[in-house]
Amino acid sequence: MAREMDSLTGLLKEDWLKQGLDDELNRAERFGRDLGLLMLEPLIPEELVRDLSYPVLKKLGNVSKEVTRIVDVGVRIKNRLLWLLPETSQDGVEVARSKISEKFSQQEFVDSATGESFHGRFRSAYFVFPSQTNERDKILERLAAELEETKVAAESGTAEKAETAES
Amino acid sequence: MPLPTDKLTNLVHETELESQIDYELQRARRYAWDLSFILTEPVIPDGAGADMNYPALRRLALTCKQIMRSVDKGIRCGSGVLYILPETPADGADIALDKIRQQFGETDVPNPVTGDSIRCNVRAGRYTYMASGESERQGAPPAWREVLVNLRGAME
Repeated sequence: MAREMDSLTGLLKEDWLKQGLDDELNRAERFGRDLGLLMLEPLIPEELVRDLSYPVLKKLGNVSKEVTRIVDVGVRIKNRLLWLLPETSQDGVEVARSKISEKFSQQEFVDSATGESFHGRFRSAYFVFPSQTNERDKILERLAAELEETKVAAESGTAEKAETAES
Repeated sequence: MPLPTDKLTNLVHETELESQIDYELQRARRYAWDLSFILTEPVIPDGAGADMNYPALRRLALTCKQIMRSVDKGIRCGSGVLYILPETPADGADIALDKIRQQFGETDVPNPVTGDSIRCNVRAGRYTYMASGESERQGAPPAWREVLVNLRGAME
C-alpha cells in the first residue's frame, strides 16, 4: 500500500504530481519560500534511442538522486525527470543542474550492437516559484514547452539558447 | 500515484507514517524550522460501545481537517490521527490542539446503526522538534519512532 515508485528510475511516479506539486506550491506560497523545479530530458543519438533510452534515463535518475539533497523530490514524467527543490532559488537550481550535468557527463553509454558510444547529456528547463503562476498544469506545460524549444533550436543549430540549456 | 489514503479517515494512510515523519524532520533540520506533531485519539464515553470507535475516529479526522491548515499533513495513526505541522513552533501547535479539543467536544457523533448521537472527548499529545534552536542544528534529527514515543508520552 506504500507509495509506488517508478521501477526504472527509482523516483516517484507521475501521478504523485497531482497532489504533491500542489502541496509544495501551496506550502511555498504560504510560508513565502522559493520552490525550484528542474526538468531534465536525456539527449540520445537518434539511431540509439530505441535501444538505449531506458538505460540512459535510469542512469540519469540514479545520478540526479546522488547529487540532489534528501529533501528534494524526483518524479519521472515519461522520458523526463522533474526535480522539486524546496527552498531553492534560481541560483540553487542552476547549481543542482550543473552538478547533475557534470556527473552525468562522466557516464559512458555503449550500444552493444554497433559499439557506438556517447557520454551522458541532457536538455533542461527550470521554473522557480514564486512566479506569475502557481497552477500546476501551467507550470508543467511551460517546462515541457521550454524543453521543446531547446530541442527545436538545437535541431536548427542556430539558437544560442539551446547550447546554454543543453549540457 | 498520490499518497495512499486511509478509507476510514480520508487522511494519508498509515503506511506513509515513517517516510512522512522522516522527510519532514530532515527538512526541518536542514532549514532550521520548528516542526510540530499532534496526535489525537477520540475518547468514547463509558457505555457507548466499541462500535462507536470508527465513527468517532472518522469524525475526529474530519474535525482536524477543518481546523488544520492546508500545508499540514494528516496521517492515520492506529486508533488516532497524527498531524505534521511544518514551520510551526510549540505555541502554534498548542493553539491548534485546543481548537480540536473544543470543536470535537461539541460535535455529535451519530451511531451508524441506531442513529443515536454521542459526544466524545479527545486524548492528545504534542511534540515539537525545535530545529530553529541553535543546539538542535547539530547532529541528526530524532528518529520517527522517537517522535511517536514522545507523542504517546505527552497524551492527556
